[in-house]
Formats: sequence, C-alpha cells, structure tokens
Amino acid sequence: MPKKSSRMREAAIVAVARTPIGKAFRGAFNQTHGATLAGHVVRAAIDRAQLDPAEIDDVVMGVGLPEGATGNNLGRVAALRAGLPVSVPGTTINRYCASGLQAISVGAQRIIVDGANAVVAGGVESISMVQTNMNVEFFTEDWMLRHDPDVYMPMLQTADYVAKKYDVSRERQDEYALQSQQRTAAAQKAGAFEKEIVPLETWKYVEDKETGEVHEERVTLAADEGNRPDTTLDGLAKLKGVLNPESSVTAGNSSQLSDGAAAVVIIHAKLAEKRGLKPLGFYRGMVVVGNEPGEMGIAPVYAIPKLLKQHGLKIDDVGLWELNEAFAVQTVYCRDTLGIPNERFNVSGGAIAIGHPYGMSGARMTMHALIEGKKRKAKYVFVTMCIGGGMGAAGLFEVA
Amino acid sequence: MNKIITLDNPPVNTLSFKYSEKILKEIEDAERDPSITSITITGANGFFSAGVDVNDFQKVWDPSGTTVRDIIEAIERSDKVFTAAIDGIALGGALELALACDRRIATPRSKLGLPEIKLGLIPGAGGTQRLPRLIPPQEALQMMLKGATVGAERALELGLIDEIVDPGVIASAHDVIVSLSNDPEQLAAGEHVEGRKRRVSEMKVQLPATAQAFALPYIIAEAHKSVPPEESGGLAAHKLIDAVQAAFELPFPRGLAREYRLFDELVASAPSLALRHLFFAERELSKIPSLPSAEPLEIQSAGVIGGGTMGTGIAITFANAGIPVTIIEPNAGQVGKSRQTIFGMFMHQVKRGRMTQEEAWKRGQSIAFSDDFAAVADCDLVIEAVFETMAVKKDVFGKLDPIMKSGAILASNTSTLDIDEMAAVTKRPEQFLGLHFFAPANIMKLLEIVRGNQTSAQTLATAFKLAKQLRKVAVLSANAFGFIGNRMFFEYTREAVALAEEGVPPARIDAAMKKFGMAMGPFATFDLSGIDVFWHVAQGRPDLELARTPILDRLYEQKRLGQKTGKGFYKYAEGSREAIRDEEIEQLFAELAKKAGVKQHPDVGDEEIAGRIVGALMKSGEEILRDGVALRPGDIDIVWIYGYGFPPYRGGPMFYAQEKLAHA
Repeated sequence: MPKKSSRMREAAIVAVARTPIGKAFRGAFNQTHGATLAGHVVRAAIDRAQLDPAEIDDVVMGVGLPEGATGNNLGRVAALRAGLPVSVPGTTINRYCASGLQAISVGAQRIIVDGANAVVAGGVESISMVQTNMNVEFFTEDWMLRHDPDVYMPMLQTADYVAKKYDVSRERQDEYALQSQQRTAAAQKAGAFEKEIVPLETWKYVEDKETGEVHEERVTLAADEGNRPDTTLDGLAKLKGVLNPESSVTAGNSSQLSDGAAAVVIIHAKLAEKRGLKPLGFYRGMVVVGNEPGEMGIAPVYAIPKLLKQHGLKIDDVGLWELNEAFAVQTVYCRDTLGIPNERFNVSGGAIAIGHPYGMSGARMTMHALIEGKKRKAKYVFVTMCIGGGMGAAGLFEVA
Repeated sequence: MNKIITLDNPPVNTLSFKYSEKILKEIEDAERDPSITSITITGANGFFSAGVDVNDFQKVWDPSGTTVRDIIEAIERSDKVFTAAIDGIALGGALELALACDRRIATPRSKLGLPEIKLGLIPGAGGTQRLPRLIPPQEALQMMLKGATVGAERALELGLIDEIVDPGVIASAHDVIVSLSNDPEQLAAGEHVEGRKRRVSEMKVQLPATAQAFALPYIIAEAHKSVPPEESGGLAAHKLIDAVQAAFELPFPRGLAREYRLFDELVASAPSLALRHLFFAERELSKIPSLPSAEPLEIQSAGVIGGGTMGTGIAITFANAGIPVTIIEPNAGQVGKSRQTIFGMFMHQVKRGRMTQEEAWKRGQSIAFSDDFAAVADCDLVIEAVFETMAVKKDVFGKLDPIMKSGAILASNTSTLDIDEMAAVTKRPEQFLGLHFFAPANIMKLLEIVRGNQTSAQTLATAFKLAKQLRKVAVLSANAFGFIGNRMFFEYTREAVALAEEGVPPARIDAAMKKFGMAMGPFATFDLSGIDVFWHVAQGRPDLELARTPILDRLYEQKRLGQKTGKGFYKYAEGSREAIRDEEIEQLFAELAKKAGVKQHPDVGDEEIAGRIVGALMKSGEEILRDGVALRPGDIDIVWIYGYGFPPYRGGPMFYAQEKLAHA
C-alpha cells in the first residue's frame, strides 16, 4: 500500500442518494428526463451532506449513452437542475458501464490532486429515452469495421460468445440469476436500500398494448421496480435465448434495461472532520484494463488483480465485492476464476434483479458497497465491472 | 358517395358532451357504410361551430364520457376522406375537429382560432399537436398563446386551410372530393389517388428553414420567457409551450397523451377556474332581474359636454364605434388640446398598423367641436364630463334638458355623485342615468351603468346595447356613493393607508400588491389619479374616513398631488413617471401615526399585506351586495378586473376571497 504522508489529501464520501431504479420503456421513469433524474439525486446528496450548494467545486456525472435526454454535458445540466448556483461547474464522463464509477474516481481525483474541497459525482441513464433514439448517423468507421469490428459488437453477442468460449453452462447462469433475485428480494425486505433511495414523483406514459392508446399517469417511485422475488429455476429454465433459441443467454440471466440516477458527495477528509461529517468511506483507487472487445465480459479478471496488487491486497482482504451483473455468464466466470467467496459477493444481488442503468450502476454499487460493507464490518470493498468495447474496471474503497 | 354531416346545435353549434355523442354516432354509422367513401363536415346556423361547451367543464370534468376528442379519434382512425367545409367561425374544439380532417376549405368570411388560453386552458383535443404540424410551428405557438383568430385569407397563407371557396361551401367540398376521384368503383379496384388521406398527425413539425435542429431548445425557451411566470397568470401559457415542445419531440400519440394530461390538469387549476368564472360572470351582466323587457333605442349620434381628458376619451370611444359625436367645450385652449389628443391617438393607431390613414381621417372627422349646447340638441344621447361637483353638473343638465329633443337620453359620467339629484333638475328622469367611464375612456373596458330611481327599462336596455357597440363591458350599479368600483376602491385605499400608518412603507405595500397581480399598487394609483381628487372626494364625505391620520390634508397642503406635481406618495424625476421611494413620506406617516397613537407593525409579509387589502375589498363588496348596489358577486369581480387592474387569473376580489375561504 502506498505510504500515507500526513500531507496527503484524502477523498471522503460523506453522503449518497439515488433514485429507485425504473424498468425501461414500461416503467415509472419511461419519460423522465436525464436532467430530472440526475438533478434530483445531486440535490438530495448535497442536502444529506448538509453542504451549502455554493461550496460544490464540481459535478461529475457518468453517462453510458451521453446523447439525447442524457446529452448536452449532463453534468453541468444536472448541477443547474439541482438548483446549484451558476458558479458550480459540471462535466460528463463516459466509460460505458463504468461511467458512474469513473465519475466517482474523477471526483475523488479533483479532491486529491486538484485541491477541490467538495465534489458531487455519480451517474445516470435513461435507456427509455435514449437507447431507441440513438443517433447512428456516421456511427461506425470503415477501417474499424474491417479490422476491429468487435468494438461495435452488441453486448448480447459478447455474452453469448463468452458462454461458448469459456463453457459457462446455462444451468450455472440460471442458478446465479436466481441467487441475484433472491438476494435482492431479501435485501429489499430488510430495507438494505433505504439509505440510498430518494423517491421521485413523475409522469409516466402508459400504452394500451391492444389499442395502442397512450395516456400519462402520475406516479411516485419509492423502490426499485424491476426485480422479481417470485423467480424460480424452473421459470428461468423455460426462457429462450435472446439471440437464438440455443443461446444460453436469456432475459432471465441478463441485466435489465432500466432508468435511474445516483450521486455521492465527496469531500476533502479534513473538511469532513472539521464539519463533523461522518464519512461512509474513502476512495483508494481505480484501475481499468482493456481486453478483446468481443469478450468484454471477462475483463474484471484482469482489472481486479491489478488493483489488488497496487494496494498490496489479496482477494481475502476484501470484505465485500460488487461486481456488475451485466450477464450472469460473465459474473460467474469472473467470480469463480478469481475465487471470490460467494458470501462476500453481490450480497444484495445486482443488475440482473435490480436493473442496470449503465451510467448509474457504478455509483449505485459504490454506495451500496460502503453502506453494506459497514454493516458487515468490512475494511475494504471492491466495485468492479465489465465495459463495452473490451474493458474491465475496478475501484477500491475503504469503509470508514 | 360523399356523406355530409352538419353540425347543427343552435345557436352556435356548440360541441357539448351531449351533442358530441350525436355527431360521433353519425360518423360511426358512416364508417360502417361501405358505399360512403368520403365525409364532409360542415355547420348550420351561419357557423361552423364555436367549439366545446364551457359549461361542461364546470361540472366534474370527466374525459371518459363522449367529447370532441372521441369524434376526432374516430376521424383519425377512419380511412375515408374527411373534409371540413367551414363557413363562419370555427373555434376551439371545432377547429381541432377540422384539423383532424384530411382537408379544410373555408369561405372568405370564416374565422378560425384556438382561444382556449383565454380561459386558462390549452387546446385539449389534439390542437397543440396538429396545428404545429400543419402550419409553421412558431405561428402555431403564437396563435395559441394569444388565443387569436385568423381570417380565411391568413389561414390560407399559413396553410391552415387548403382553399378559400365561395359561399357554396358544400358544393365546393364536393368538387374537392370529386377531384380526388375516390368513387367507390375506383376504390374497390384499389386505385387510390396519391395523397388522398392527409392525416395531419402523420406530418412532421417543420422547423423554419433558417433554424437548425439544435436551435429548438432556444426557440422553446424564448417562448417560456415571453409569457408571465406560472404563478402570475402564465400557467396555461407555459403548459401550452410544454405541449408544443412535445409536438416537436414526441411521436404523435405520445404528444397527444401529453396534451390531454396537461389539459386535464389545467381544467382543475385555480387560474382557469377563475377565468371561467369571469367568462360566465360577463355573460350574466346584462341580465337584470325584475326589469321588464324593453326594446333598446338606437344611438346614432352623441354629444359630450366637456373637452377635458375624460370627455375627449369618451368621444374617441364613440368615433371608434362609428357613432358621430360632438364635444361641447367653451374654452378654445381646451379644444386645441383635445384636438391634439385625438389626432395623436389616431396617428398612433396608424403607425402601429391598426388603422389605415383613411380610416383615421374618417374617425377624426366624426368628432365635432362646438361651444354651443344647441349643437347637441338633436343627439340621441348626451354625456356630461365636466368638473366633479354637483353644482356644475346640475347647471349643465338644467341648461341641456330644455333644448334636447324629446326621447334623448342624458347621462352623467360622475364617479361618485348622486344621479337622482341631477335627474331632478330635468324633466326626463326616465331618460337619465349614469354612464361612468374609466380613464383613459378609449382604452379601459369598464363602463358602470348607474341606474337612477326613475331610469326606465328602455333607457337601461339602450345603455347595455350601446356599451356593446362601444366594446365596453357594462356593469349595472345602483345610485350610491362611489357606485360599485369607487366605493370599493375607497376601502382598498383605506386599508393600504392603514398599513402605511402602521409603519409599512408605501413602496412595500405597492410591491406586495403588484406581486399579488394588481396592475398597479394603491399608492401609485393615488399619484396617478391625483391626490387632490381623493382629497376633494374626502371633503364631500366627511362621514367616510379614509385614514386615522390627516395624511391627505398634509399632502394636499404641501402640494404633493402626485405625478403631476412631481411628488406625491412617491417622488418623480422631471418628466418621468417612474415612482421613486421617498423616505420623507415614510417619516410623515410615522409622525402622524405617533400623534394619532397608531400602533406600529412594520413587519408584515407580502401575503399578509395582500390578504388585508383584498380582505377589505371583499368586505366592502359584501356590503355593496347587501345594499343592493351590485346585482351579483360576479358583477363586482368584473368591475375590478376591467376597471381596477385586478388580476383576471384570480377571478376578482369576491371570487378570490370565496375560494380562499373554501380552501382555508
């Protein structure tokens, strides 16, 4: 571990807030703008930290698809939408599914390196409003299509490829999916997400499947709405592969398309002390490693050891793991290849049950790891994920 | 075969819930008949249709019953060709129905518009989604924001209609349909003329050629900036802009869902309830219970006694209505001033493009001047607008009455004096009444019609009819001090002065009332009207105390008469009307309050200030009702909306107070 000099600045996470996660397209946030989602959590996090909004030095938002309803430098828009003074700047970070974690990392760096005192960092995604309306004009490049086309490969294809190449059976995937659902259901029942969630009232649109008629409904979402506590192995086994009937990757063992936002307040640890704010934890570091785009799902197996090594840690030194469940296939592969104990791994389930708003997930997993880690008396927690385009990211936090 | 469906629901073919049911059934029947390939919708009674029935919203608005939305949705689903054949007005829901058709044709006299905003609503049957698709979106937005109607020519220019046709609108519709060659045989053979169906819902909103797509947020934001804040009467305007944004950004069904939702929200909103209250209150105004019905007389010529500001304004009002008018003014200097005012006013209209030079000339010519009462002897009506003292007025009527032709009506423009006392000097008390115009008379919409003891039913009926011609909103008042408006204004200013005596600076009181929505604060009004005017009124009625302190006396002594002397409750820079807070006044109030022993409470909030002042208004209004001075609470509301700048979106002092009590 790098030596801590007395002068070294530390980045402390002192408050967290997230929206519940809505189901994409038919869920509560199906027309809730990215600025609304992000502004809501940025404001709530600052309020929870009891900071004067004018003290915020930067707002860093991660977005997986930074265009349309989550475009226009959403970090800046979110700051204004949250009612922060115009003097508070904002930036948008993209590293696909690691965007939220990357935003926290950048936010922490702003504290440690750049001398900022307080930063809000997090992530947001509106799959409902963006994914079906993406600007695909001039999307690809001819050279890339000839030489490195996998960088454009849809994620489902990469999952199917990983399943075949590394021989991860349908049964292992479904078993894992069931575990995710069960753990999420138990966590929900135990109120394990309550400290994170700030309910959001909004208008959703409802389409009558038969008549095609559309109307708008006032809804308040107060809890994640995507998970299915009644999931059974039988039910999972009946699902057909998404790409083709033979594929082992099904809707049941993949992450869900969803909408939401999460934000954390990171401040200079000394300032937290001075203000009497109790940190949830400290940022210790992050690495990202590239791999073959076509098997992006397994990239955490490269990122995790690298970060562990940097900090002189071993798998067993880590009290809690949050590995993003993009697909059960890559989740179990990573877990078992590295030998991460299942009882410390995704203890409240993950994206398969809760949902995966790409840009949000990294920030959501971070806050959950800190809150849950504290409960379990963990010293170190890991937040890690695979990333489209062939990358794996891992972040290390120390629980306060 | 073409089927004609005629909207025929007299008098103006309102598309009430009930009538919509009937039209929907006609369309559904036609839809089932395969021999019918096209449907023409037109109107009877000289109208296309005035739209939905506002009465329907007064009950619990239940969009699940049959409304014009259902008619429109049936048209939208149909593969038959729909033509709206418009002759006369097509407003609101009726224009929305026309927008759902494949084609619109109209006669030259037709008028089309979506005026929902005037009732605090937005078009709620697809209008906000279809209009921006059919005509340039910025034009659509402006048309709906203003609630403006357009004539056939402009409608054609905008692309709102496809053709202007001569009065045989049905025959023309038939021609259009024939030209589309969609006779059953051809249809059966599958030979459709290209573009036969032209659903507006399938069009895309076209940005102006000069604007790039990324300019859209700017265009929408500018629109939001151009209207008052939501809490100050702009609620519907902002929602309308939201709806038009949806037309730009969302697929049609989603945009429609947005519009329906926004509309349904607005129906239940306080500002719309207030505006609808005023809409109905205005309709009631000329209904006078217990008055025998009488045929109104035609006023073809009028005289005005006195060429001051008020007399000149009244004369312009008559000229604008095409009624020749003679001003009696003995002072040549005053005549010159009056002529200048008239000339300036008409030139202003020409400059702004509201009137042609020729029209201005004609109207100017219809105002004559004379110094001899004999010049108005043959007029149908003479209104005095001389100095506000009983003696002067009596003198005028004493001279006028003997020379006026029999049957001519005499009226006083007094704002506070006793009409019966004046009528008593004439031999025609039946043809005598008060016509209280508000300054500037050619602009302010309010006219108080003051009924004397003996004023005849015919004279009152004539006054109401005249008011309509003059485009005034007329409210009947009994003959009592200050009538409706000024009596309440007295209480309004009294409460404002009371607050100032308690240590609240006049500028803060005015600011609170402006925040509440008044066009002007009470002290600014004092300064505009002249403190001497109030002082004189107060002298005439020592029984009515305006203040606990002699503040008015002091200001009158100090020649602080308001804007005209550069100092009043505020101070004014030379030649400026901009009120500047004056601490001298605050000190004066403090001194006088101390002497009078008035307790100081300077720390009242804006809401409490407005609450106290409007509360005083309501109390006074209740007295007025009890005394039978005003007929209905709604009449009082109309007086305050049109005469005193009370915010329409709050519905008037009586409505506001009642709503507030109901929600307290």
